Amino acid sequence: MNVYAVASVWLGGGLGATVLVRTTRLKLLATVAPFAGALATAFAAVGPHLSPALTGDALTIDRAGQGLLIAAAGSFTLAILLARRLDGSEAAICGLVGAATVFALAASSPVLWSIVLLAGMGALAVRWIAISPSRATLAGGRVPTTGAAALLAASPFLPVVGVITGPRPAIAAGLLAGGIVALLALIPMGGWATAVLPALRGIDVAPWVVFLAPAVLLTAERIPAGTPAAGDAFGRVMLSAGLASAVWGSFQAVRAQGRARYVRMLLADLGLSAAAIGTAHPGLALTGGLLILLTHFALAPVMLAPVGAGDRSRRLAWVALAGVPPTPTFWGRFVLLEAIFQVGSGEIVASLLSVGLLFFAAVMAALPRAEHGRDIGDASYGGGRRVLVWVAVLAAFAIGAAPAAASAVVFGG
Amino acid sequence: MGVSEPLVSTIAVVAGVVALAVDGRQAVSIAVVAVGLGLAPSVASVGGGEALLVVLASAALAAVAGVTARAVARRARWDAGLDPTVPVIAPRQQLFGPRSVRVFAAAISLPAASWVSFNVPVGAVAVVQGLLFPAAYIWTCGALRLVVARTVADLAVGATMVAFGGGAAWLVRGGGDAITGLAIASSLPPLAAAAAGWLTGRHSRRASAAGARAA
Repeated sequence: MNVYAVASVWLGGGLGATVLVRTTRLKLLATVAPFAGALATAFAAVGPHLSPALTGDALTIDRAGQGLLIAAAGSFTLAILLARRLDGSEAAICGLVGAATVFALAASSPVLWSIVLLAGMGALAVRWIAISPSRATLAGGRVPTTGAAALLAASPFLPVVGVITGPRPAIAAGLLAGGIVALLALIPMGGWATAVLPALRGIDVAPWVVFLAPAVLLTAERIPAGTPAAGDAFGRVMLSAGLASAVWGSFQAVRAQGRARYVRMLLADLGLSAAAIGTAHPGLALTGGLLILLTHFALAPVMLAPVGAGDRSRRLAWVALAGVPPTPTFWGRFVLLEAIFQVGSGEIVASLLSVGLLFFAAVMAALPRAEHGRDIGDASYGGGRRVLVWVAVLAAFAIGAAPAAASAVVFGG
Repeated sequence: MGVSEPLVSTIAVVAGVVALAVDGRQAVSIAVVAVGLGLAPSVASVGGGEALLVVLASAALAAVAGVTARAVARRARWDAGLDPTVPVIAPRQQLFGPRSVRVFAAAISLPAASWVSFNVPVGAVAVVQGLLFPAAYIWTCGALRLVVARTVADLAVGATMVAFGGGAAWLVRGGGDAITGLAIASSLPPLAAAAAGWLTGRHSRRASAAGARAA
């Protein structure tokens, strides 16, 4: 199955599921969208993927991208099942953003890569504004779309292989880094995510959390290899923005409560993953980043769901985010720290501070009744949903128990 | 016959200012047509008839898609939604209004696009310099419209401008996939126009229904 067919299935599945939910009022049918997408992705033709920074014209999804899409579909399905109310349009957004993610992960043309990110982020922003018109959601439309526009602006200056003089490498690297920073909500352009993510329902923010942000992170991992002349500039921006986001996010996680705390921890983990991209150790950055993503795929639907989704299971989910063995975040952060430690002493201090604060925030949240009644939509769940929450939390611990095997199964060797 | 670079650049500047300043229910369609026509001479001089056809077809398709989506949304039995032309947040009392800010953005885009055009070489095969001004100006105006956006229509107009600007810049860069890249970038404006038209039509259906009930 080629990339066009896979993206069409994502889009068609999303629109079809929306019609099904609205005509039958059976919200379970919304899961048709991610299921159809995952099925099509599983049958996608897999091949080597070229960095968009090298400006190829191939359209191939690689094994890591395929695994990421399937895991994201599973995570989105869980978010649908844990959502208390659905109007069907969630499936359409899943289809739209899923199709955009397919192209973003397959494109080696920087124009296609940036245009699909612009379209996906634009669709999501319109959805956010329609649900809750506010300064936060407007910023959620302005900042990441401008980031995608910056990636598009970098396209004409690529490739920069062999260009070692003049402003062209610096302009290309600056635009690429600025675009990635805005799309991943890193400092100094991360304010939109800290405002939008805690304010909206989990199912509404899930498309960014499980599709767009992971796709941007995975493609960003490949940029330094395509910008050797500008690699230093791109790497320096990613390293400093990532570490600043990690430290600030983990500090704010200690102060925040409930969903806001989880959002801060997620952004801190994205910051650490982005910082590792700038360390010139792509293997470690990729391995650690994928493990972190896999953990959040399992836990994000639970942590973004309303409070009451099983008190004990939720506390165990916080433990999984603590970053101590044998939790899955331990392995992900350990590999990322391994990359960051090779840069310098300042980076070691910043990353250790961030990891320490994340541990403290997770332990505080895991204490009995620490989160009681502090979230929006405080509600208890029935038996079926409790089981789903337990399955997700135990899956996270299974990743921690066998991280290499889990990563190999999902993302390939 | 050689192409007058100042004339091509002036046309792009006029198109950029129109697209930045336009407001209202037809904003996206007007902006798309203005930018398409404004970039047409530049695109034709760099990429020839094929490139010109891509840009003009995209602009025409966007105009048609906007009108069609609005007409369909008025008749469809879906829920009424948000009005893309209403500001998301209430504006504060300020000395200069949103359009003044956008005109100022159009003014500061001039030196920025000029600097990029004359100082940053582009080119996949042969390096060229000085041809990028129209594309860079439209892209900069679009990015600034995104930054100062207050409505969904602003976001749609900004997205179409950066798409056209980015596509035209990719064409100037050259290479084997120049037209393909332009076509990919030009596929976004019709989608944005259709989305904005759909939202506008859906909302106006609700407004007209409310008016009928009141009568």
